Amino acid sequence: MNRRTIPPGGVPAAPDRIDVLIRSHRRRVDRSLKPLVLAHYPGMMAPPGLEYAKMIELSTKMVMVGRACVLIGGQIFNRRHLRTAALYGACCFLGDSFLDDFGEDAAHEYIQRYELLLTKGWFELRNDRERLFYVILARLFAERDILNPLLRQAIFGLFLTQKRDVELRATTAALEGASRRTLLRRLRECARDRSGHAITLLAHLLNPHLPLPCAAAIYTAGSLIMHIDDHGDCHSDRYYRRATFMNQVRDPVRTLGGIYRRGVEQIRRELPPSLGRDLMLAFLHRYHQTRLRKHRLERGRGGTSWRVYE
Amino acid sequence: MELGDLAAIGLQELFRLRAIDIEQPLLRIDYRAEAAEAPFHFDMVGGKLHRTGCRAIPRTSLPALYAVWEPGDGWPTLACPQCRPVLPEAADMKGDSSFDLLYGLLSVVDQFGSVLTERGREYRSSTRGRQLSKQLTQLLGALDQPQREVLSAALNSLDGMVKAIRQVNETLEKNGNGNGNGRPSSPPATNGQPPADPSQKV
Repeated sequence: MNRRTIPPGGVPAAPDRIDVLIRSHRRRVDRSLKPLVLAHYPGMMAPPGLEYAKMIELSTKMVMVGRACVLIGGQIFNRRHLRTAALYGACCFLGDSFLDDFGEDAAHEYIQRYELLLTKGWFELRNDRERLFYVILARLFAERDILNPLLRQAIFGLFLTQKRDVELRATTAALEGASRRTLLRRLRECARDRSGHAITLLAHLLNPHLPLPCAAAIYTAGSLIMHIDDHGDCHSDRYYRRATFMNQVRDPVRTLGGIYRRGVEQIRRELPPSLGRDLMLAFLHRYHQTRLRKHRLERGRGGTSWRVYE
Repeated sequence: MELGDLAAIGLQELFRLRAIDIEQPLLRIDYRAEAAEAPFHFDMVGGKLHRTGCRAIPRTSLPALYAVWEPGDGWPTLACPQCRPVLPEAADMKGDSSFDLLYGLLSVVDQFGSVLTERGREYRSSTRGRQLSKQLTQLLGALDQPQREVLSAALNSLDGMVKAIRQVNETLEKNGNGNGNGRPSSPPATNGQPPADPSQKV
């Protein structure tokens, strides 16, 4: 099947057609981001290029979710939406790498520098990775009226949650001694808000006029994505001593199943029937299945593998 | 390298070299101060619209609250049954004013589009901005008629220059030669509406 059989701006419902859509978006995301990476951080493309491949996968995921949000808002998904969602995915990938890949001291320092960026606009560029991150951020900010109140709140809400997450990691040991229930509640809220704000930001970057009655269901979809993602990264996060709600609960598959079921029910209940809602649900189902599989595959690899998953 | 990227990096280079007053903000995303003044807050977790400060807002929802000025269509179904929010009179609704463009223009040029407005507002309310405003008022008061005419001509030139830059930007965007880094040239595109050109569908 070629892309001409996909309804314009719509989504095919069958799983094999979702495959086609993902492949198509992956190619476009690659075309959109490659020139930027080559211009500002060519080292990322050096063989075997796994980090670049991972970034493309995350950006493709953002494009799929973004497409669903655009359709939920009753709009047609266009090139500008794709470019914006791809930039947003790359921005999230690089931002997360500053928090997760260079140790706790680097994560704390990044939080301080990012706070200065969000409160004063200043960000000292120290290397190619930071330069790429900043250029992507600047382009993203130029795509939309970034001073829209909702966008500002989503950006700053996401930052505050990231800050809370980094602080929580540092105090996890102390919290374990105090109360396991408290630890789990805080970790769960942190995961909920981190991706809840992230998807709210993505959805409103693509469609600033998304109706308020859709907001909570979209926030829930984001939270669900975070829990699914954390389950997929469970072994790696444990290896690097990053506590998440999903790697602390006793029966993660069952817990995730419950969160997934309730989330999907809320999305069905609160979002009006549309191609966008169908795409969101199809994407969540697929993501849930692939991350359950990833969790099983990674169990035997000791948490240090650097494999690229869709 | 794209012109817009170069300008964005250049601004941060000025910061790195401390070649500018870094106490003056370039851009402030943090919205907490303004959010506190909003009439409503929406709980993203509970899906309820509350009056600001409503005691029924769950403590666990506090990090997921969004300030809302105008809730738009469909909000009554989301209203908290305890605080029962109602829409205030239009005069009480505080929007984001866009009348600070001139002040912003003094600091940053077209690259950051809407940032100009916020930058101008920040600058005008700063100590330095207030001092400049006072000095300008004194200066304008001391000008004679010919001097006022010269100033007026200079301001008109500035205005003409901005218009010319925008026209060039629009032309480049329409011809598909824009750097993709500027704000879109037409309001419908800015608002995320479907493009007029069906070939832009993906």
